[in-house]
Amino acid sequence: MGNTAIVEMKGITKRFPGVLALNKVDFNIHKGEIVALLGENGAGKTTLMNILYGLYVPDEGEILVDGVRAHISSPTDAIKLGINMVHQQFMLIEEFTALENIVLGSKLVGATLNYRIAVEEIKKLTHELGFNIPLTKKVKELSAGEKQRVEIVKALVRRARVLILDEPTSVLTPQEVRELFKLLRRLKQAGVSVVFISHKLNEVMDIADRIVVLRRGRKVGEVDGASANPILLAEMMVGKEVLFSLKKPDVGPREEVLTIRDLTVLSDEGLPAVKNVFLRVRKGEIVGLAGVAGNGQKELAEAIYGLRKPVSGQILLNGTDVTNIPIKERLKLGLSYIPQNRLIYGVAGYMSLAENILIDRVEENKFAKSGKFLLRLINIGQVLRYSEELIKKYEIVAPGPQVKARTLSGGNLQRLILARELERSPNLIIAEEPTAGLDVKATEYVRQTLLDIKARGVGVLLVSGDLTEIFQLSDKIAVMHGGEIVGVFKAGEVSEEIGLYMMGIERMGREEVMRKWESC
Amino acid sequence: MIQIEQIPSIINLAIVMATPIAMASIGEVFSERSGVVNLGVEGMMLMGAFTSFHTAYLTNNLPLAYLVAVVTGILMALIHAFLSITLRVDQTISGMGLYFLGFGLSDFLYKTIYGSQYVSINKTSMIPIPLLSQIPVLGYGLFTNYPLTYFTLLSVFLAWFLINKTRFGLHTRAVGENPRVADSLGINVSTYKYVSVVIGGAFAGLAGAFLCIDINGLFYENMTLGMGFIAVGLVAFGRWSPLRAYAGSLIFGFTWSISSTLQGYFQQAGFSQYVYALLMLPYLAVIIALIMMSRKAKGPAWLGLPYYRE
Amino acid sequence: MGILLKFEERRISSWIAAISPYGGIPLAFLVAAVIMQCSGIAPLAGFTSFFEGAVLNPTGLAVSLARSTAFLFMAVGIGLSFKANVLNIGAEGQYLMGAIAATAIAMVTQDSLPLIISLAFCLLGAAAIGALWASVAGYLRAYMGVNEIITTVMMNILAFKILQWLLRGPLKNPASQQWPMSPPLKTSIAELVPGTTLNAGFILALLISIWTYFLLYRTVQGYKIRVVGSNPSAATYGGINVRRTMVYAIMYSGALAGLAGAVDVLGVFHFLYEGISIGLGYTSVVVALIGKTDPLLIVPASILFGITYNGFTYMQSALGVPYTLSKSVEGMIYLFILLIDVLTRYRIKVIVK
Repeated sequence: MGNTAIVEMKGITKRFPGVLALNKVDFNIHKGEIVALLGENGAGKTTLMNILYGLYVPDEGEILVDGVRAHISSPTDAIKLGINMVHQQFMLIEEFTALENIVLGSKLVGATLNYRIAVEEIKKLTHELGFNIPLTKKVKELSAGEKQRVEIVKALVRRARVLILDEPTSVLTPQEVRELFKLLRRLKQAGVSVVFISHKLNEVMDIADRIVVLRRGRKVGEVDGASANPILLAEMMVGKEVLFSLKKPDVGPREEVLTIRDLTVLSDEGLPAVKNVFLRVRKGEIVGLAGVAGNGQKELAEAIYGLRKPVSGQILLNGTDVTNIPIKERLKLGLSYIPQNRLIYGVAGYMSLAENILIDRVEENKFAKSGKFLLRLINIGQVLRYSEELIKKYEIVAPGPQVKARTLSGGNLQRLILARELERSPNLIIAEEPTAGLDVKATEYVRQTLLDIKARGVGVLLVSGDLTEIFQLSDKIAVMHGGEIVGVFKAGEVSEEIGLYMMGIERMGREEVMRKWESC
Repeated sequence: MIQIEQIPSIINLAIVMATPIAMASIGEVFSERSGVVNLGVEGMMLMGAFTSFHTAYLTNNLPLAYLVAVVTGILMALIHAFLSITLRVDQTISGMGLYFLGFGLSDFLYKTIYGSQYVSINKTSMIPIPLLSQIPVLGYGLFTNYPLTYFTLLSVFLAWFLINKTRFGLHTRAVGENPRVADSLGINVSTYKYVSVVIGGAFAGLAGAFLCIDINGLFYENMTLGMGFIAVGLVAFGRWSPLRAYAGSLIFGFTWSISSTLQGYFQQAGFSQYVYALLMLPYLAVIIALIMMSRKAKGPAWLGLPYYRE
Repeated sequence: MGILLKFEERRISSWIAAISPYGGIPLAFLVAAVIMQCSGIAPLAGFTSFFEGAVLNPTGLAVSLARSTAFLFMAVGIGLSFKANVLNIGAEGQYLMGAIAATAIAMVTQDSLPLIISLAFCLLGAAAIGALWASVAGYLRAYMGVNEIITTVMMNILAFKILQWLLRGPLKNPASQQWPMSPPLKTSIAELVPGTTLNAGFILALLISIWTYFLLYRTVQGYKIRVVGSNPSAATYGGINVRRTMVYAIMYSGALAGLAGAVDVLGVFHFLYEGISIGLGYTSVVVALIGKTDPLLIVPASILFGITYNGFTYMQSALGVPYTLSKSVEGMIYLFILLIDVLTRYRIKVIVK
């Protein structure tokens, strides 16, 4: 390329308790290029960039900026050097306006907050780059794509030379992704370098000039973007040929285990997040709910479980109307939920593993001896024995059932929740992002388990933003957009066109949706 | 029951009684906007009351007494700040400790030095604002008052301006909403929190001094009568705005003032036992006010939680 | 930047965790000694009389235990409430309401019913009133999100006003003109050590703390309380009615505080007067924290505080030291506990940049 590197990272090593996150990694960023950091979840991509951004300090190695050794010990240092990062979870203050977020901490406004100059400069910038941001709107009212653009403007206003984007497309619709790529190419022309962290092969091949692959903390390869070979890249990412060869036994039509009729649910802000939805899950079938996050899936799952009250419509569990009955009753009817927000809903950190297994099962006869009111005792011996069984069966890495749940790693917590929910012999499981954040082995295990219980006659509603997962596991796929079901397909009936439905460009009308639910 | 001639003094008393609460509340607004709850306000007020009393008694220098109270409040606030910000102790628990300490220490020191008698000091007198104080009814009610009362009214607006229209305020609010974001942008989270808590302490100490020197002219055990807690409650009631917090303090002020005025009437009419029912009214009013407002109140997102970098 | 503090969790045995808070007590006493010195009181003489009065002397010890009864009741209740993450600072008011209820019921039943039955009604009534008084703050917190610390403190003030009113009204002793107090009560609790205020209420308190331990760790309801305190979202997810559980927790706490009031009125003082509680409810919060909200650990903490209170009272009569020094000591113990808690649980590294 003939370009000198703006940033050189040499021999970076970083250790966390119990794990070597980065092992002597070299990474360079050249001026005016888009370089991708490709790798699986947990490969170390974000950690490497966090070090560059000053959030972590490396245990070994050095960083050179413009050929000079740099000590970056905080984001402030990084920003001074022109290095900016946009994280997966936006670092924005929801209650503040876009404008306030952009100027926060910068020198753009004086002590008495005169915004005029700042507004002018921002408008000039966004005009050059070809988009618009509603500056006076509160961030919480913006879409994911708009929030991302606020973050980018935030960085540019601080004279960013290097813009690091961490998994930027995970919350965008395909249309928004295209717009983002347009923006990135414009930035490249303007001389800004972009580091694109991702685990999505096809996107990386589309946008990057250069691709660096990390696996388990090591740099395993570097290829030119234009001539990249996807199979080679995949092998570099994963290391072996991982064939998700999951058995999918075929089941004929059975009774309905979950029926949702004309359901409307409001979001936290009081707007309809789920609009007149029809949905059906039969015994022994996996229905995959596809869609970009934020289109009502969360509210739908919560309404089915009982964490949220619908304003109209009906939810039937095995024929019983559960629309307004408390969670406790729904649990008794065989409902089970693997929540996406595991730490918030799934576990009580300061209680032991065994006590966590009881959370939604404490009233079962197995664990609670008879007795009324205050005298209802817990059969502690039984609880401990059961917990040990589950630890073994689900390979939860923990010293024993008495340890506090918060000492478990994310993957093990997921196994714990999985163990608890799957072993209750439910009739219906709502699985929300069941493999998010898990390594390859665990992901395979979870997916196989779901297929196994499906074979035993359990109905599964799979809510996932991972299309690969949806396609691999589902017997039926429903697409959700803007709170409505806009598409229903049998497995094999659809492939990439599903993106059109996810964006809302294509949609099935109500009658068609109903017909599809009937016919499949 | 209430004669018309009494209305100006009712208004006057209402504003006077509202002042210490309002002062403490404004200080607490700062503290909470940066994310720190301070339940020790009551203790800080009591210590402020005592130290100002002692200073006034010894030196007869009232401005000095106020200053000492402010310093006392700041010192106590620093303890709370150190415990809850630096050591990440639970804010509620840390605040309660300062309440206990302030409560006990102020009373102990007074009893040790002055014994159990009531000792009085020279009070400040009310200063009428020229012209405005000639207005009928409101003139005496609103515009003839203690200097610190005027100061409190001024600080309501100053506080509002500081919080909403300055960079300091923007940064403080950022720290209270999402310290992680603020930190990543180079804002020193700890410093802003410390400063806000110290401002809160200064106001609390001054509020105690006002209560002691201006209103009562003497010190007695637990003389704040729950006002510190009410001040904290009013912050939520006022949805973290100094203007609304002041309005809330007026609720207490007026209830107190009206029930005070009615007391005389009750005693004359032979209902002297029921005087105590009247004394309960201000506190009931606070509870009702809290209930009414608490539904919609959403404070700074990070309120009450410690922040630290990994 | 400056100074960065890094907190690393330490692995400590549960024994150390249980005992470490007590380290706050000698530290606080040290500061108290300094305060006494500065106020012109010889600390040595002070503490000598403290121990003589409260511990070394059998009558004094009995009185100390009698004092600790109230703490035990209230702290155990507060501890349970804390476990549900409901901060009951209203034990003071609940104590007073219980005392009022016991007095009123005693006055009505002492002549007409046998002693045991009158006593039973008094105790049950006091517990019920205490629970009811607490439920107001509990309901406001659980169903309306109103901060329970502020509401309970308001309720404390209200309770005191009610006490003042009743003692000058319906509950007044016609014989005493000036002082607001009730007539002497005949319903009383048996003395354990004759001639002292130590009564069977102490035994009751011990039994209740054992029962509370059992409740918290062995029953379904206790489990629910602990989950609600640990993670209310997870509790909701598990089908637990978080709001109802919170109200139950504070009501239990209030019932115990009410009992404390009844026991003190019927077992220690035998009549009701305005100064019956001098901040006992607030002190019990500190006791609950020393005992780490655990019912069994609260027992020694309560006894210790009973001794402290008694000791300082003795110091007042012997040397004229205002008993409110004990209040300041309390506050200091509290703060030192917090400090020690942090220091023992975490190893703090100071990084200077």
